[in-house]
Amino acid sequence: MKSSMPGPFSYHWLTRKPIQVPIDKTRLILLYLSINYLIVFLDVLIAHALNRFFPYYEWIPIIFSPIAALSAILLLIKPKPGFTKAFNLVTNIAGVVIGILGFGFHLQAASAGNVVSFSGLTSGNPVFAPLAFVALGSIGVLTTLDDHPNLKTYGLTQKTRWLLLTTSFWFLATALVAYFDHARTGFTNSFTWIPVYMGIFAAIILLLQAYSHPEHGLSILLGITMILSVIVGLLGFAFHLSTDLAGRGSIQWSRIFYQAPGLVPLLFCDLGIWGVLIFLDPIKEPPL
Amino acid sequence: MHHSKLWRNLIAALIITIAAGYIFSMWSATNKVNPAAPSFAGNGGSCLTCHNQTTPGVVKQYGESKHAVNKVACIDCHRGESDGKLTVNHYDNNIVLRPTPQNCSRCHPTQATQFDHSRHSAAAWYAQTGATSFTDEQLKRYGLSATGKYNDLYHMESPEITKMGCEVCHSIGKPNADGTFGDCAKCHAGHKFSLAQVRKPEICGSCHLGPDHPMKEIYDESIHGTFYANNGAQWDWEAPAGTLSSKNFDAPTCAICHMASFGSAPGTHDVGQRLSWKLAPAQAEKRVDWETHRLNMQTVCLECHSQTSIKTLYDNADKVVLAGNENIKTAQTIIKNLKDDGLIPMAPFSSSIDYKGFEIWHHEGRRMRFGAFMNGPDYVQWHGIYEQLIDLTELKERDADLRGKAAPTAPTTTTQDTSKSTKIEGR
Repeated sequence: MKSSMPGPFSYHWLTRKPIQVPIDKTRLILLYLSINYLIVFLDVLIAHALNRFFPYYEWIPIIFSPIAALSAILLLIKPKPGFTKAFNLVTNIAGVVIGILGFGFHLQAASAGNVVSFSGLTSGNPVFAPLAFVALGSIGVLTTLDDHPNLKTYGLTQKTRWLLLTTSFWFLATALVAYFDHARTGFTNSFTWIPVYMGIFAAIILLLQAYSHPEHGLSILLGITMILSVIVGLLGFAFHLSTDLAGRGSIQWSRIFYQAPGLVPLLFCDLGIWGVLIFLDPIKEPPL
Repeated sequence: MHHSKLWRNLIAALIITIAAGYIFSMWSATNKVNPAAPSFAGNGGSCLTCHNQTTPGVVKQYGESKHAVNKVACIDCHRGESDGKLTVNHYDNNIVLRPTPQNCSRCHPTQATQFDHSRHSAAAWYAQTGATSFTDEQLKRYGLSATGKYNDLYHMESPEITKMGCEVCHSIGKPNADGTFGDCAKCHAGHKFSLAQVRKPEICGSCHLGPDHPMKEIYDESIHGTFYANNGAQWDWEAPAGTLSSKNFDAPTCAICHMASFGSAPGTHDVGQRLSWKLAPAQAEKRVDWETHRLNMQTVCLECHSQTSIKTLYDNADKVVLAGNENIKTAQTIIKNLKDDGLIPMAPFSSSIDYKGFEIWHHEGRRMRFGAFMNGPDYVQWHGIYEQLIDLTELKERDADLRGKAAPTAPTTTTQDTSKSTKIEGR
C-alpha cells in the first residue's frame, strides 16, 4: 500500500468512470476496523459492567478490543510485511477465538441445566452478540492477507468475496440478536420485526453478491440495501430511546444501557457502512 | 457476457427472508410466555400507562431495579393462572396482586426452596398460631408438631391488636392461598429489590429487635456494628452474589453471617443452616446436625478471625446458654408447683407471676443468649442475667409469700471469697 498513489476503485458498475478514492481500500478497512473495535470495547464494557465483570473472563473482550484496535492502527501506519502485519494477523485470529468462546459462555449462561430453551435464549443475555468478534476478527485476518487482483472469481477478488461473506454472516448474527431480544417482548410492537427481516435480507443480498458478477443493477441493489440498513439502525435507535425514556421524568442510564440498549440498533448503521466499504473492489491494488 | 442477476438475487433474497421470518414468527408464537395478555408483555407496556399515574413510586422503583434491567416485566411476577386462588381479573388480565414464593420461584427456585425449609417460613407463623392454622399435611411437610401450643399472648390479644403487632413480623411465614408459606417481599422490599437494602442490618432489625430478641441492638453494640457504623458507606453493597469477602466488607452484617456467601462459605436462604442452637424456646436446645451448622457459621468467621478465638467465643457462649437454661428451669418449676398447688390460677397469663416467669425466659433469657453469641456484653449482663436474677429472686419471694413461708435468705458474710475467681487480671 502506498499512500502517495491513490488506487482507482470500483463502483464502476454504478458510474461509467471509476471513482477515485484517495486512500487504499485496505487502509480504509483498517481504519474502520479500529473504530469498530473501539466501539465494541465501549459496548462490551457497559454490558459486562452490569455484572461487575464477574466471572473474571468477562474482562477478556474488554482487554482485547483496544489491543486489536491498536494492531489495526499500527498496520495502517506501517503497512509493510513484518511485525505489524504478523501482530495484526495474530490479534485478529485471537479475536475470532474470543468471539467463539464468548458465544459459548453466553450460551452456557442462557442454558439451565444443560438445556438450551427458547426462554433461555430470550433471557436477556445476548447469546449471538459475541459473534461480532468473529466477524471483526475475520475481517481483520482477511485484510491482512495478500490479495491477487488478477485472480478473480465472478469478477471479484478473493478478498472481496470473503469480506462479503463475512459481512453477510455478521448481518445474520445481528438479525438473530434482534430476534431473541425482541422475542422477550412477544413482538407486540410489530416494528420489532423490522431489524430481523432487514438483517436476514441484507445477509442474503451480500451472500448472493459473493457469487454474482458485479454489475450496475446488483450494485444498486446492494447500495440500497445498505442504505436501508442505515435507516433501520437510526430508526431503531430512536425507538429504543423512546422506550427507555417513557414513563418517567428523569433519564435512567441503566435503562438506556441495558433495557432497550441504545447502542445496539446502531450496529445496523455500522453494518451498512461495512457493506459499502467491502464492496469496493480494487481495479488495481499492490499486495501488502 | 454475464446475464443480469438482479432479479434473481432480489427475488431469492425476498423469498428466503419472508420464509425465514415466517419460521421465526412461528417459533416465537409457540413459545410465547403470556399468550393471554399481550397488552402486558414487555417493559414499558400498558401497565405503565395507568400505573405511572396511580402508583408512580412503584414505577420509579421498578425502573431502578435489576428486574427492569434484565427485562423482567410486570406480568412475569404478577402473572396469575386463570384458576388460581389468588388470581384477580384486572382489565381483562389475570394477575396476582401480591406475588407469593411460588411466583418468585419461577426464576429463583433455589432460594425459594431454601426459604421454604427455613424457620422464616411456616415455622414463623406456627410460632404464634400453633398447629391450629395448619392442615395435617402441612404440619408433616414442615416438621411441625400437631400438639404444638400456640402462643397464649397471641390468642389473648384481640385480632385488631395482633394484626398490627405480632403478625406484621411473623407474616414472613404467613400461609398463602396458593398453598405456599411466606413472603419474600418481607426482606426483599419491592419494587426495587435492592441487593444493598437486603444486605444491610436495618431490614433484619425491623423485626429482630426489642426486649425479647434485640439482635439489632446487640449488633449495634458489637464491634461488627461499630465497623458498620463507621465504614459501612464504603462497602461494596452491590457486589454480585458469590463475590463477598473480607476484601469488600470489613465486618459482617446480619445477612452476611447468617445467609450470604462470604469468602468460602456458600450462601443460603435457610437462616437456620448456620445456627447450632434453638435459642428462642424457654429451654434452649441444640439443633439437629448442630455440629455441621456450627462449622457452616465458623467458615464465615474464619474469613476474619482465628480458629482459636472462634472456639473460645463458642465455648463461652455455650456456657452462658446453659446457665440461662438453669435459671429458667428453676423459674418454671416454681410456677408449675404454684399452679399445681392451686396457689395461682391455672390459666396462662392470669397472674403477674405468669408474666414474670414469661419474661425470665422470653426476654432476659433470650437477651443473654443472643448477647453471648453476638458480642453484646451489655445484653449478657445488665439486660440479661442481672434482670433474670432480679426476677428470679422476686419469684422466689412471691412463692414464699404465697406458701406462708419466710423468704429464703442468702448466707451472711462480710467478705467475698475471690480465691476461685478467674476475673483477676491476666487469668
